[in-house]
Amino acid sequence: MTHDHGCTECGVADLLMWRSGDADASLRDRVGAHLEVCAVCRATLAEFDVGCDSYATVPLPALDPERYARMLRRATLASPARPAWPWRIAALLVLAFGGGVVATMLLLPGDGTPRPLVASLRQGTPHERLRAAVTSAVEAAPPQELLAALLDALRSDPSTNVRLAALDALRGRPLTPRQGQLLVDAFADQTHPLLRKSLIELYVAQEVREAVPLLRAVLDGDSDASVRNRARWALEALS
Amino acid sequence: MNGLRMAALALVILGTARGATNGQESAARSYALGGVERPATIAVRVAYATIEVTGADRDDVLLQVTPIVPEGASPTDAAILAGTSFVSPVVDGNLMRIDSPDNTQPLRLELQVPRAVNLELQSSNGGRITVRDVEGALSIENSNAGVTFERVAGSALVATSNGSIVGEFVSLTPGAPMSFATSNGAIDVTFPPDLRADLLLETDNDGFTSDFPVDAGEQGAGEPLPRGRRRFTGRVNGGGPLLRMQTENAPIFLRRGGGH
Repeated sequence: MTHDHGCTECGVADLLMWRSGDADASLRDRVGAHLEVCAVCRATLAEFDVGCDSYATVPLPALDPERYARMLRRATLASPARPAWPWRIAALLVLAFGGGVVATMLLLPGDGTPRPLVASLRQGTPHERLRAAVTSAVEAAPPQELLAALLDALRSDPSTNVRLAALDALRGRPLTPRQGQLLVDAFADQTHPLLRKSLIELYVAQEVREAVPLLRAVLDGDSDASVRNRARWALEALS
Repeated sequence: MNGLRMAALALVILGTARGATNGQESAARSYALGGVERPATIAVRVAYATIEVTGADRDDVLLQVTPIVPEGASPTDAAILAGTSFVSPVVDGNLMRIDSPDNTQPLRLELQVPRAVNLELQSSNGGRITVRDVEGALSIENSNAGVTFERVAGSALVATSNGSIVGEFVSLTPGAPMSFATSNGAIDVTFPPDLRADLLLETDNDGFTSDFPVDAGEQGAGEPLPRGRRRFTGRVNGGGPLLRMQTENAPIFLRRGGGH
C-alpha cells in the first residue's frame, strides 16, 4: 500500500511501523536501508516526531547543590515548555492516510516508550547502535529524547565506533547549557585517546566554553601527550 | 632421599600437566549452540588475550584456551596454569559468551566457529585479534595490539589503539554502515570491487590512498581542526552506507580486491 507523501518506494504505514518498533525483520531491514538514501522519507518521519521532556531520564553526574541549582536555572530559561497539540496534529495526519492502527498508538498518552532510533541506541546490537547513531546524524531536528540517547551512548556505549558516531551526530546541533555540561562531563568516561581528542575537537566546534576548566586540567594532567596537545589547541581556540 | 622425592614429585606434575609448558596447546573443548535462530552470536570479552577465530564447516564451537607461560617458568607453575580454568563459556540459546574482563593471565584463545556467525570480540593488552573465513556482523574492540580479518563476508566495527587494522572483505552486507578507528596504527582494508559507500575519513598529514575513484564532498566546511588534522568526505561508486575510518600518525588505505 503506498501513500502520496512524495516517495513511491516506501509508504507512510511502513515508515510508522518501523518507527514504532513493530516491524518484522524483513520490513525493518528494508525500511532501515531505504531511510539511508531517501531524504523524503526521513522528512516524513521527522514530522511525526514529538518533542518530549525526557531529560529527567538522563542520569546526572554528582554535583554540589549550588552548581546544580545554577544549572537548573539556566536549563529552565533556555528550554521553553513544549505544547501538547503536536500529538493531535500527528494523529490527524495518520488518520488522513488511513493508518488506523498506528493512529491509535499515537493517540494513546505518551508512556515514555522509546522510538526506534532511541531504542536501537539503547538496546540494539553493536551494528544496530551504529546504524541508529549514523541515522541520527542526518535527522533534521532530533527530538530531545534522541539527543539524550546520543549523550548516553557517548558516555557509556561499549563500542568506540558507536561513541564516535554519536559524536558525529551531536556535531553542529544547538545544545542547551545543560547538554553542554553533560558533554563536558562525558570526557571522564572516555578511556580511548581517540575519543578524548575527538571530544575536545567537538568542544571547539560547538564553542562549549564550559569545557575550559576541564581543558586546563587535561593540559596539566592527562597521561597522553597527544591529548594534552589537543587540549592546548582547544584552549587557544576557545580563548 | 630428598632428591628422589623431588624427582618423583616432578614426574607426577609433568605427567598430569596437559602440555601447557611455554605456551603449548591445552585441551580443546566443543560447545553446542542452541536455539534455532541463525546466525548465532559469539561474544568474547577477555583481557590479556590473543584471540583467533576461524570459520569452518561445523555447527558447534571448538574452543582452545592456552595460558601463555613466561619463559623460565617452573614446571610447577606451568602445571598449575594448565590445570586452571581461566574462562567459563556459557551458551544461552544461540548466544555463546566467554566473559572474563578482569583476567590477568596472558591467554591465547583459538575458536573454530560456524562460518555464518556474528562475533563480538573484546580484549586489551593481550595480542592481535584475528578473524578468518566467517560471514556475519563483526564487532571488535582491542587495545595496544592490532586487528586482522581475512576473507570475511558481512560488515565490521573495529576499534583499537596502538595497533593496525588490516582486513579483507570478499563481500559486504548491503546497506550496512561500517566504522574503523585506531590511533598510532594504519587502517588497511580491502573491499570488493562493487563497494558503494559514503566516506568519512579522519586522519592527519599521512592522508589516505584509495584504489577506488572517490568523488570528493564538502571538506569540513569551516569547522576548526587542529593543524595537520584532516576530515574528508566523499563517495565511492555513487555513494552508499557510511564507511567511517579514523586514525592518526598513520595512513588509511582503501584497496580494491577481486571480490567474491
